[in-house]
Amino acid sequence: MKKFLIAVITAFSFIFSGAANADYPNGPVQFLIPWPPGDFEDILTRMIADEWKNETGMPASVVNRPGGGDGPFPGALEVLDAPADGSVIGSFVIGVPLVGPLIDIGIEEDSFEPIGIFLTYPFVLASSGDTPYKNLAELASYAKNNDVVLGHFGAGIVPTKATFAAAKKLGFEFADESAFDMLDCNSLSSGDADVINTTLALIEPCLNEINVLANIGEDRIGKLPNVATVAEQAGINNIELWNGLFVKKGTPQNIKDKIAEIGKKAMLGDAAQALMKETGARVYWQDAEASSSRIVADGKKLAELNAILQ
Amino acid sequence: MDALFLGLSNLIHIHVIIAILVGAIGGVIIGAIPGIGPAIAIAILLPATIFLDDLVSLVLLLGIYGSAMYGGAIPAILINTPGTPVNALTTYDGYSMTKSGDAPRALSLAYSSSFFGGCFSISVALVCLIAFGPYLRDFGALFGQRDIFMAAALGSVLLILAHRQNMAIAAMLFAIGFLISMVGRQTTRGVARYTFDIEYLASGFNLIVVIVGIFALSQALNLMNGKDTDPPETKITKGLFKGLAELKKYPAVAFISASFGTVMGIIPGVGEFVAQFFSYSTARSLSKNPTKFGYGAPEGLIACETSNNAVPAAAMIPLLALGVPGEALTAMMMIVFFDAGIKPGPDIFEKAPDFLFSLFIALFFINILVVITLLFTSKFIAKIIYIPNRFLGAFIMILAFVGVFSIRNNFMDCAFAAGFGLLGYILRRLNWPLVPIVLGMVLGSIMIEKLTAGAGKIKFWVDLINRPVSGILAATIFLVISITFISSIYNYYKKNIR
Amino acid sequence: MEIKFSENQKFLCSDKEKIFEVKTSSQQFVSKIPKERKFKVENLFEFKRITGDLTLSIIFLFFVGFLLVHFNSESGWNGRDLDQKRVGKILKQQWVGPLMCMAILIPATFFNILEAFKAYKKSKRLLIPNKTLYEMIQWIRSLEFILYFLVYTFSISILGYLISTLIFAVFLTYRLGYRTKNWVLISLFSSFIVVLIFRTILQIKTPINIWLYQYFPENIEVFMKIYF
Repeated sequence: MKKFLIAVITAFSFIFSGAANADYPNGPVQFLIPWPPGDFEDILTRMIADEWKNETGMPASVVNRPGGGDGPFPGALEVLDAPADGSVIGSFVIGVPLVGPLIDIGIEEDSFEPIGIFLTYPFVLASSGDTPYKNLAELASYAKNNDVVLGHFGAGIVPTKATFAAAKKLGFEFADESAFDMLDCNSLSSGDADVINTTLALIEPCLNEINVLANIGEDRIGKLPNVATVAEQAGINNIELWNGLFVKKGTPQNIKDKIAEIGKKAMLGDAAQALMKETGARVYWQDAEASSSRIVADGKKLAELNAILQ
Repeated sequence: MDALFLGLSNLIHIHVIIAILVGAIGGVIIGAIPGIGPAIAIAILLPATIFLDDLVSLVLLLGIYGSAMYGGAIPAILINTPGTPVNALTTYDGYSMTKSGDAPRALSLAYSSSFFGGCFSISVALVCLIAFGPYLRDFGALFGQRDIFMAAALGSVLLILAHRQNMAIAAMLFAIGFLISMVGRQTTRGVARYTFDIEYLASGFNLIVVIVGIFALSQALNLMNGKDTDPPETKITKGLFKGLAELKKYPAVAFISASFGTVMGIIPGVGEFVAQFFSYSTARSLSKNPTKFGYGAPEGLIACETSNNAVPAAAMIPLLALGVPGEALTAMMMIVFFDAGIKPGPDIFEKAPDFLFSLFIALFFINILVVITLLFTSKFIAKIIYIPNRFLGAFIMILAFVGVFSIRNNFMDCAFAAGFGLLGYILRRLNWPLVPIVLGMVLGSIMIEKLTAGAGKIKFWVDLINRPVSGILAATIFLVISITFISSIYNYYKKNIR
Repeated sequence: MEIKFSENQKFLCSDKEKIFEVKTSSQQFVSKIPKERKFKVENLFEFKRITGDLTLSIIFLFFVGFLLVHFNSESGWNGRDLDQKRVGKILKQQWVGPLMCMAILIPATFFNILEAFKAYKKSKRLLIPNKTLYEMIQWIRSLEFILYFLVYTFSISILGYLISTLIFAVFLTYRLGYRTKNWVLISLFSSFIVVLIFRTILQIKTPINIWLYQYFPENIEVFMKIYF
């Protein structure tokens, strides 16, 4: 009902004011998330959309476009199909600008321009409470003589690659690994995998009963100060899985600045920071230049990981 | 218990109440019009409900599902045409009662028995939730990927074996549905099956497109190519409340049929037809005048309506508990769950118990609402059943576009839906079952997903079945197949070697 | 002996199905065995193979053959890696699913063809007329309506959802034989309600760039694009 009323008001404002080239934003804006609803990037992008409505008075909708087996790429292609006028803004993970150009799907290295990076997923390596290993070193010595099976979200994503690279550096190999759609407390308690590579929020309910072996990211997670990062324990680089706002290349600078302004305000606001404290995700704002240089640096880090895995 | 109250309070929002109303009354009308069934309506409305809230869309679709069989009894009784396929058995006893002038009694008996069946299965489900809810977290630890794989495999085996007389056809169509669900490319996992390098096939076949094609468009073609039946007008006179009390005369039949319906609903792969078959046969063997069955026996009517209305609520249980849908309609509702971000499975009791309570309580309210509405507006609804078939077919075709295009905004989807519509039309003409294709897609994709995910822990073949749940399910599969095999050999020898 | 036939008995003569009316009279045959009044539930759920069944079974046979021929290249069987120590590494490969399908499909198709052939032979033995051609003509007749559906789908991106739905509804009801003014009005009204509910209120997705709307003035164009 609310949607209908907003749509009616918008329609009337069009009819009576004329859709001339006024200041941006002069029309409804769509935030496109290439994942199913519920995860961190979904919650935070919706916060940005709410802030958008408050700041500009214009409607902002959030659309989920999960790609199923193809990951975030179909959603990213949809943003690429839209005009470069700031009407469709993508909320993408690191894989889209870095891995997208490497697979033959239509994304090039310069297809997207970053507005800002705002989220680091709290990826951890966890195992059940009754395993004899509590960190990566112990896991390495255990795995040399026993079978350890890894569960992850996909062999191509950054945290999984980091895990494999760490294993290689520490001198052990997982007996087998599987890609899952969902990894949570049940995956450990039902014995689907021995070690899982998942986000902290998904194993939150049983955090007291499981061992968190390592954290994949640049810094230790605030809630778990005793858990060292994979970079510290295995000596690989500290690449992390982040999420940021992107627009199609060729979008005018003033539009990008406007989006950045609102995004920064939302992410540094109370609600987002509270989410950070609760869940262990890192919520911040890196502006466009810092994001671009980070993408370049992460490209190098990813290449390093791939070299280790060869 | 506070989850119960939380679930109740979730329902007290204006949108949800409107959804209950629209679902209940709309469901009755959809069931009442012969030619449209709940499958078609849910297939068409599913994409449209993505824009609504999760609980609202789920309650709407559940309302249509739960109330369609009430409405389906009306044309079955009045003009000998079942409104939904599952009401076919009602035509015999019901229409005979109409012919002897007792239409209002038949109608009210049908409503009251449906109401009893629905409430029975809902209360069974609620009692199970309240009693076992707190223990389900530990229960959930028993269900890993391999166990759910076995459950889906059991569902598939039961589905094929339930088509006793055309098992080869059911197996063939099931396997084709399975294959259709696997067509596609998944770049993140490096998988590409049967894509023939065509871009459309690389994105796979969407379940809704196939369902709208096979159920809705085929029915539209069937209706448009057929004839308009011009049934004689039957007037409903007073006395609509007579049959309500009559249900009390046959408590045994009612209870037995309701239990059959509930049990058959819980077992995945089996559906309303088998439930009705068993309850009808049992009612007839228990009855004092079995020769009247098929010619106007009230027990026959009670047996049919109670069992087929007990199935919807019970069919939600395997969907919610295991994530394995047992029926085409529940498979469609699984999609709504996914869109809402709720993954049905053993851990749903941990994550969203109030959601489950809301569902079943809403279903209960829908049943009450439908009975009250029907008791007062039967005459009006009885006029709707005379909509001519061919016009209905045209209408379904217009609505089918709504369903297909809004999924992926793709014209090729519409073309393929039309192709599936042609296939479904041919299958309908030959009396071949349509459900195995849809369930093949759903159960097949579940099986492959769980197998690939659980494969990490499978070191030897025995690892597939050396867990408690998967072992029991595998043994059940083996048992069911052997029993069917042995009994068919026995029948063959009995027939041919005298 | 005089043979009496009953009044106005109609006989079908020859394959041209001409009806001769023969004035005859006879006693209707009355059986001494009473009609069995048992209603069998099984009859409701029974399955009989009818005309066209053999045709469809043969079509499915060819389809399965086609899938089998392409199994090697399309399902990944040519990239299989069977010498792994862990069974799981074999089960993870992409051809496992298609292989399971083929394992069910091939025996089922063969059994189906056998049964269909048996039923066909039986119907030939009982001299039941073969109406396969009629059946296939019915299948092809339905292609007409599929064509209408595809044209409707295509025209939505040209004329917009509202106008093409109205035209399609009226055309289809006219084609189906409902040609009185009442029916045209009913079809117009009901399709308009459908457009209203699904497009305007629920805002389902329809094609975005509509050729016809370009020619409307700016304000009306935007209004139509959002609501119709």
